[in-house]
Amino acid sequence: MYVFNFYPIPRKSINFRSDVDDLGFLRPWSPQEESGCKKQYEAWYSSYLPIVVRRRCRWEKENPRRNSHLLQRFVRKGIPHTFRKELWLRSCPSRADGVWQRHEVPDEVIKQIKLDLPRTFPDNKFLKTEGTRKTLGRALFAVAEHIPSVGYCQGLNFVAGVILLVVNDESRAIDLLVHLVSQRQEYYGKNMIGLRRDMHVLHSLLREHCPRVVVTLEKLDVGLDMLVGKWFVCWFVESLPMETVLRLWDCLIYEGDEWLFRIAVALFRSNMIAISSCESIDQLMTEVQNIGTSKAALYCHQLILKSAALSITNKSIEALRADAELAIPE
Amino acid sequence: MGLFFSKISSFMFPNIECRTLMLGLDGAGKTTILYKLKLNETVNTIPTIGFNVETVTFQKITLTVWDVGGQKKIRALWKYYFPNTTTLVFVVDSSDIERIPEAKEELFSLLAEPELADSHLLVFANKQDMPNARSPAELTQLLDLGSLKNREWFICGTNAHSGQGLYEGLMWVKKQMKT
Repeated sequence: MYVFNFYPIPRKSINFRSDVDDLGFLRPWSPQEESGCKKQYEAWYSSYLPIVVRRRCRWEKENPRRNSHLLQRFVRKGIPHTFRKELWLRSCPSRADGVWQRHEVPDEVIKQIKLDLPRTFPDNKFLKTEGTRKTLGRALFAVAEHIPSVGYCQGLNFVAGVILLVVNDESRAIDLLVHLVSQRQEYYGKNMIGLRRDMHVLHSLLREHCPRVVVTLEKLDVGLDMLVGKWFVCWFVESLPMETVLRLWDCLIYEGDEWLFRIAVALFRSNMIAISSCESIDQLMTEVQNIGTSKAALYCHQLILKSAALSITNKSIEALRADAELAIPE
Repeated sequence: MGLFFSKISSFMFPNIECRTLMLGLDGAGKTTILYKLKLNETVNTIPTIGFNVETVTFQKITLTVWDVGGQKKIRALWKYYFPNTTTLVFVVDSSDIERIPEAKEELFSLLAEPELADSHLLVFANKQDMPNARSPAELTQLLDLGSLKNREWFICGTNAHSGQGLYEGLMWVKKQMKT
């Protein structure tokens, strides 16, 4: 089985002056990034680095894998980069087990996948090579092959890209991608029925946790699908800073869909004053777009802990989903 | 003195506002066009899920341009962007002849929407730099634009990377706003 290895040689000391992070993404002080973000990023990074170091020491010392409750607490506080692959793959089946059947993939789907390969993280150091683009193509093809109701949906290219970068093993990365997409396949099928259902669920949760936001949404007659559908389609990739995405995915992969809702509600709460002051749709769109570059989004450790404190569980979401399915037309 | 006259000018002749909705199939070049107009640069674009929105000022016209994701699956969300649209910009990949029928179908579905009944239609026949690109005249035939009734429309060939044709399109929009 083809395995590619494109990580740089690990350094003995962390060089956070490098222009590229561990996964190959440009840092804000790279010449290609806007200089305005530099100071904010440096301040955040300086405060975040000690957290990373401390968490890694705790993981090595206490080995939380032996106890699921302990592991959950550790996962919420962040999986160190060196352990992330192992933890993400922890309960992922292998295609070799025969879990998923294969189906024929229409030419139209293949064409769409090819169109998006060079447009997936075009500046990423590793993904912009020919070889890894082909790997990405094979990953997206596998989703279409194993989950024909999905085929290819734009947004999954970003999801696949992140998984390839973290897992760094083509075969297991594809197993994980297919596994995770299969858990949310209703988001990507006909009419995106699962997405619309979950936007309805999010609306209910915002009414409970963020009522002023709901007043604004209803006054302006704006649907959440329009505003934040992208968050759920892409699991926040390209909407939040990459480290925040990774921290979220640690929780999402270990604990499930509740984390899409937890983080969405926490982001709305953090930006509630700006959002509930909006008097036009255009203004609201701009404020929601700005969430992704806000301080709340960048300070990921605090954001995850705030999200964890919300009383939103997979169980409560299932109940709201049942209600939502009655409300939305087919 | 120059500043004084500049202020007088903007007071007496305020910019005209134009809400512009840019749609088209995925990969036609909508986002590349948006940022060529906004930044006058060719940026690396990624597939648009949801929307990009920018304000572009051109010869006393301020356009708020909404660029909305074009993949078939996410086209169901297009309808949210219809209200108050002054100009509908429909972007076609002139070199993707296989998908012209799909583009035509989507275009006519849009034009049948009541909320877009009063919008002007500007068609960008994009990717004119590609060797097998069809000309604007050919696309007028292929898209059946001649059959449009009660609709002000204009088509021009564009190359989003060089900017060719984009300002010709905006000139037409400006003319429509004046009448």
